[in-house]
Amino acid sequence: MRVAFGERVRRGRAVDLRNEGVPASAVVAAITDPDDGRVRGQRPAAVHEHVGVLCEGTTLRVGVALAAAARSRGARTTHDDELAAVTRQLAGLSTPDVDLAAARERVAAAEVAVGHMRERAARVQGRTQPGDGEPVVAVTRALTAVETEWHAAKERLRRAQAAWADARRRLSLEDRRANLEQAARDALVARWSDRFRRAMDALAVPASVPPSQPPRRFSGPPWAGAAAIARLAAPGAPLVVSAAVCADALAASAALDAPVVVVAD
Amino acid sequence: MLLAVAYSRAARRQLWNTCDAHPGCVVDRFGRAVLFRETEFSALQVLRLRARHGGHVAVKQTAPFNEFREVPERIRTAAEAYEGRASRSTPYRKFASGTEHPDPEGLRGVPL
Repeated sequence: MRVAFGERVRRGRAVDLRNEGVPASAVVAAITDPDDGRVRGQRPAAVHEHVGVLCEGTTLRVGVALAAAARSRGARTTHDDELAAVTRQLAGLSTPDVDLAAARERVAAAEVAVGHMRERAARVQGRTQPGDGEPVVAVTRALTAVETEWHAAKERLRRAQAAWADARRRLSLEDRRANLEQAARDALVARWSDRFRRAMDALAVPASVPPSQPPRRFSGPPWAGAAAIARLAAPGAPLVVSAAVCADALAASAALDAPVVVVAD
Repeated sequence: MLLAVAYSRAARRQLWNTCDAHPGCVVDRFGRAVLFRETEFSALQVLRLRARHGGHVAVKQTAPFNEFREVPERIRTAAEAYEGRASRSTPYRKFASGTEHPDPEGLRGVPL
């Protein structure tokens, strides 16, 4: 990688920025922004989002991060084909812009108008004297108009409900996709838990993963989980390590098996 | 519409099979409950379920709910205002007291 923070341009898998006064957040922002030329190298894999920064307070959701690490190494699950199919179906669905409430309101308002107008028409038609009050023709015409509007409102509501059926299909597909993603994560975590334990044991820190399945917790400093997962992942882009975790960029790069930028904070 | 609810595993299985076999008469599926279009064909299907599973299948006749037709405006306004309240933990009774929003006790037992 090529890192251009401050005066010097640094190259290699282990870069020390402790004397540049750059915060970890600025470095990781440069790494993840493809338009930021200050850090050049491979693009970050999805797992980088979980393990890209190792500070003293770094914590992570072990299951989600471990599954992402497995994915970065090309791991697949039996759910992937269906997951891809559901994702494809979702991409092909349009998102209908349906305002069902407005359609219901128009139907209700039109019904009220029709009710009033029918009463008025009945009153006018009941009068016998010609020239007394409103002419029958005008009232009948007004009644026809509100009835037409009522039928149109009902038809619009019917169409909105049909469009809503498509929206419901999208919701159920999104639900299905979330379930498949969870099942795939669970499968990956179960399969990669031993590798996670070994990676944790290989770190030169007093941390370990209890032998429960699946591994969700570990003893030791909070950042040790992220370090172990970074070690077994292929994060692509460099990891940002705080000097408080490991001040030696070469040692950190070797332990994490990844390009590393060490920062002071 | 006809709402069929299955209260046993066997009834649920047959309800789902009915849905899979005749998707055209299904309006919506919610786990153990299914909303059927109100047609004679749907009636035949739900009555078959009833004939086989008896009390394990409940059927209700339902209608779409139009709040603008069925519900007084003050209740619609109160529902909107309460869901937009500043403090999530305020109970409705407290929210409504001293305002123009209806008291919940006054709504209980009043038919729509």
